[in-house]
Amino acid sequence: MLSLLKSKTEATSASVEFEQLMRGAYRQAYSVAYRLTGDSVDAEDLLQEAFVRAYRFFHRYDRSLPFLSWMYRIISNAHIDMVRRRNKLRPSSLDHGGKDGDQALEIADLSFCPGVDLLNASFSDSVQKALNAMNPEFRMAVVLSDVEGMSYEEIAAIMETSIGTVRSRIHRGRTQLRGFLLKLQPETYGRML
Amino acid sequence: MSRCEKINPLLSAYSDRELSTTESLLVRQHVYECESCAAELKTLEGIRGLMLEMPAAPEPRLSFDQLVAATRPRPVRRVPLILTLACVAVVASLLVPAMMKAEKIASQPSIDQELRREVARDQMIDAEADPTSGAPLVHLAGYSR
Repeated sequence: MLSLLKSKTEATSASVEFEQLMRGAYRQAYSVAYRLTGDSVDAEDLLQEAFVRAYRFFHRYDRSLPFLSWMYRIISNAHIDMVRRRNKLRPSSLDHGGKDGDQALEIADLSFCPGVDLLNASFSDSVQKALNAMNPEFRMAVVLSDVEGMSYEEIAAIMETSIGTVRSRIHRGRTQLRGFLLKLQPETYGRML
Repeated sequence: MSRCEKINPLLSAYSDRELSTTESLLVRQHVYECESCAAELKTLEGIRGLMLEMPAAPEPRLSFDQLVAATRPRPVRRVPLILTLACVAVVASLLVPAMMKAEKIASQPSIDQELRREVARDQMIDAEADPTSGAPLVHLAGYSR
């Protein structure tokens, strides 16, 4: 009985701790989710999925890693899963990409969304659209580096990979980004890039 | 592999100052000598600049509490215990007799084996040998086949 009460108290204190940490990380987690998805509704969906996963696996959270980095890891995995699920439903997908998805440039077709006038898209809109068309692993690495200002070492810890892989993902990600921007607005970006 | 092919994958990390001192020196020297790689480096820095210039993400539509309230953990599908036990019983009732039957069949000599043994026995009798030991049969006086 005593041990039951003790475990119940521990569970309650873990829930309180979890809520406090989540509340503190919410704004930044949303910001990354928004950059990854490019849309408020999708960002909320992604965050909800990440919250559920984080709550379920909170007992595995290693306190040596900052909570936000742990959340980014969960968001990254949830995002990759979400993109893969959606691609399975699409008639044209990134499935034909190479092992590392580096052929996404060849496949992604932004005209898939009907009614989107790419030429009239604003400057930041087109960058966001180009980001959306990227391979999800590359996108995460580029967002963490360029938007969140993280070091390659931190990104490697979040994405649970080597620094060499992060280096490669960021480089290939930026190359993909340039390709998409040139495809979206050749006149604007042809001069700049 | 050309020098450019070796240097190109390092350009982003170079512009992010994420290379070792030795690697940085190699890239710097190459970029100084190679116009194509210098242009590539400028482009990659331009891309990075575009990312940095992106406006901050808008304020979330939902507050933290609203988002938590809207979050419903996915129900974990639990099979009722009684259904699980019933399935185990059905599978066992099908599998156990089948396994016993298979074991029985395996232990029985096949028709082919039995026939072969009979032929061998007949051949031994014809050769006037004892079918079990193969020793020549001794004919007792007054006994004929």
